[in-house]
Amino acid sequence: MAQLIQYIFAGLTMGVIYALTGVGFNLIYNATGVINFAQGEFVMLGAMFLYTLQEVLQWPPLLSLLLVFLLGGVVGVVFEYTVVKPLVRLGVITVIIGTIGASVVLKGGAMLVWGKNALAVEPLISEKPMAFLGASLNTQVLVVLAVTALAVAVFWYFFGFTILGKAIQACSVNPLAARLTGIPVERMITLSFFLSGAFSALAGGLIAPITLAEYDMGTMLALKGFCAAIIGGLGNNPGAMIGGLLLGVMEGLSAGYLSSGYKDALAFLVLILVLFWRPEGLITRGKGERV
Amino acid sequence: MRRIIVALLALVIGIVWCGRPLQARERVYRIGAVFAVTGPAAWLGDPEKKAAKLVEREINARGGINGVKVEVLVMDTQGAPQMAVLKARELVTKRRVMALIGPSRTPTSAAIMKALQLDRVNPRFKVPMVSCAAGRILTQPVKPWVFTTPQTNALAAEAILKYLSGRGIKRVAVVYVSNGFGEDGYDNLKALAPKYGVKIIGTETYGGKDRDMTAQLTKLAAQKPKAIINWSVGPTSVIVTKNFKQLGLDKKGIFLVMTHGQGNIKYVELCGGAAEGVILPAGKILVAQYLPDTDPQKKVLMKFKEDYEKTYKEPVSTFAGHAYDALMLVAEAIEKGKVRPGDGAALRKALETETSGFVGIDGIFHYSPQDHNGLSPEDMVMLKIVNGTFQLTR
Repeated sequence: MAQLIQYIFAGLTMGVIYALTGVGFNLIYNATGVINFAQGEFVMLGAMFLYTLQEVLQWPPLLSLLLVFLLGGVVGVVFEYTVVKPLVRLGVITVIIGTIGASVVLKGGAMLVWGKNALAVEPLISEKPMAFLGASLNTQVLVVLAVTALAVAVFWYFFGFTILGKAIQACSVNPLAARLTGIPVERMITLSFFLSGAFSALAGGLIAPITLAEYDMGTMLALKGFCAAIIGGLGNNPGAMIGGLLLGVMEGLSAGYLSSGYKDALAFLVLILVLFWRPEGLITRGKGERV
Repeated sequence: MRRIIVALLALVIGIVWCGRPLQARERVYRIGAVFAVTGPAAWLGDPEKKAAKLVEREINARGGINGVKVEVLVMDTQGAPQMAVLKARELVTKRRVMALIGPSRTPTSAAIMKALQLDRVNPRFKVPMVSCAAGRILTQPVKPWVFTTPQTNALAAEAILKYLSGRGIKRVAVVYVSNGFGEDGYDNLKALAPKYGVKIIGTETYGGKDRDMTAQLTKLAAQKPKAIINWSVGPTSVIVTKNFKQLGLDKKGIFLVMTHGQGNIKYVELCGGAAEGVILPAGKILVAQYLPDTDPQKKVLMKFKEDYEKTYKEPVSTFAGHAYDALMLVAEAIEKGKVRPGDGAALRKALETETSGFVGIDGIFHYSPQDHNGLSPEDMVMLKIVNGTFQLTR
C-alpha cells in the first residue's frame, strides 16, 4: 500500500511540472493559435532567474518569485515582438518553426550566461519531506500543486467571466470580428504573451528546487507539457492540469509496476491513443473546428 | 679523376660530420596533445591542457629527457570526433610527433584510433596514443597502439564491491542511467559481483533527463537491499541522492553508493545536505592531503596538487591527473627505454615493457602487452561524505 502511494506521489511530482508547462502552452495557443515550442525555455529562464535572484543576490524568496514572474512576462513580450510579430503574416506554421528557432537561441544563450552545470535552488518552505501513510512527498510539490490549482482557477475566472479575458478569447476565435467590435487585438495578444511568459517563468522558479536549474531542462518540459496540453485538450486549462497529473501518475505507476525503461514510451503511447480516439482532448466537449 | 673522387669524398664526409651534431642539437621529443579545450567537454580538456603544459615546463626545467628537450603541441578537438581526427592527422603527418596524448573523451579517442588504424598491429603511422578517456572499447580487448590513464568503470565497480563485501554487505540493488555509461557500469557490477559474493537483487533504470526517481528507489527498497548503487553522472545523480533522503532510506539502514563520476565537490554542494553518508570510489587526488604518509602515491599527488594550484589558481581535478599521467608515462618510457626522438615504434614497446611500477596520479601503472590501462582496484579509495566533505573510509 505504502508503495502504491509512493508511486502515485512520484507521479504527482512530475505531473504538476507537466501540468504547469501545459497551461503555458494553452495561454499562447488561445490567443494566437500558435503552439510555442519555446515554452520550455520560458520555464528554464524562470528557474535561472530565480537562481540568480535568490541564490546569487540573496534576495528574499517571495520577492524573488514576484520578480521572476515580472521578468518572465517581459521575456514573453520581447519574444512576441522579435519572433512572432515579424513572422505572423507568413502563417501559423512559419511562426511555429520560428518558435523552434527561438528555443534553440534561448537555450544557447542560457548556456553562455549560466554555464552548463546544473544549479541548486533552495525550496520555498522546507527541505523536509512530508510523510503520509508510509510514503513521503517533497513539500515543494505541494507548493507547486497549490499554485497550479490557484492559477487554473484564476485563469478560468479571467477567461470566462471578465471582459478582458473574453476579449483575449475573441481575438483567437476571430481576430477580424474582434477588431470590428473595438477590441485592440494587438494589445490583447501582447497581454497573453506577457501572461504566458510570466506564468511559465513562475513555474520554472517553483520547480527548480525539485529538478535543479539547467540550461537544457526546457526540451523535456516542453515535450511532456505539450503532451499534457494535448491529453487535456489544447486550449483547455483545467484539462492541461488533469492531463499533466494523469501523465505523471501513469509514468510513476509504470516505473513502479512495469519497468522504469518503459515509462516514457507509455506516456507517448497514451498521447497517440488520445490523438486517435479523442483528438479534442479527454475532457473537452467536441466543438466546431476553426477554419 | 682521383682528385675529383677525393674531393667528393671529402665533401660527403664533411657534410656528414658537420650535419650530425647540428641535427642532434636541433632534435626534440615532439609530442602531440589533443584535448577538448573548448566546447561542451571543456571541463575535461581545459585542466588536461594545463596539466600537460605544466609537465612540459617541469621536464624541460630539469634539462629534458636524456638531455633532449620535450615539446608538447596542444591542439583543440572541441570535443568533436571529426575535429579530433583532423587535428591528430595534422600532428602525425605535418608536425611529425612521436606520440599522442589525449583526447579527453571516449568517442574522440575511438575516432582517432580508427582513423589512424591504432587498433592494428601495423598501422601506417607508428605513433602510440595515451588517451585520457576511460571507455572500455579503448582497452578491451587490447589495442596495440592505444593506452589509457583514467580508472575504468570496471575498476570502480570492483572497488565498490570489495568495499561492500568487506563490510558484510552482500545484498545490493542497482539503479543506473540508461545510456552507455550507466549500462557499462551495470555490466561490470553484474560480472564482478559473484567474485565478491555479492548478490544483485534488483535493478532499475532512468533516463538522463528524468527528474524524479522515487518510484525506482521505492521499488528497489521493497526488496530490502543493504545498499543501493547508483551509476550515472550529472544532475540525475543529484536527484537520486535527494530522492533517497526524501524516502528516508538511509534511516532504514540502506547505504547509498555512487561512482567516481561524483568525485567532485560540486556534487555535494548541489545535493544540499542530502549527500551526507553517501559512499563512493574515487581517485586519490581528491583526498591527497588525508592520505597516510605511507601511501606510495602521496608525495607525487601532493607535489602535483601544489604545483597545479599555485600555477593556475584553481583546484586540481581528476582530469588534470589523467593528462599528467599520460605525458609522464611517455617521458618515463622514453627515458627508461632510451627511445630516440621520433621513434614511435620503440616508444610503444617501451610503454609496454619499461614503465611498470610508475607512480602517477591515477595510480601505480603496470602497463603490459596484455593490459593497456595498467591500474588496479587498489588505486581507488572509498570516500564517505561527512559534513559536506570527502573523507577516507575503509
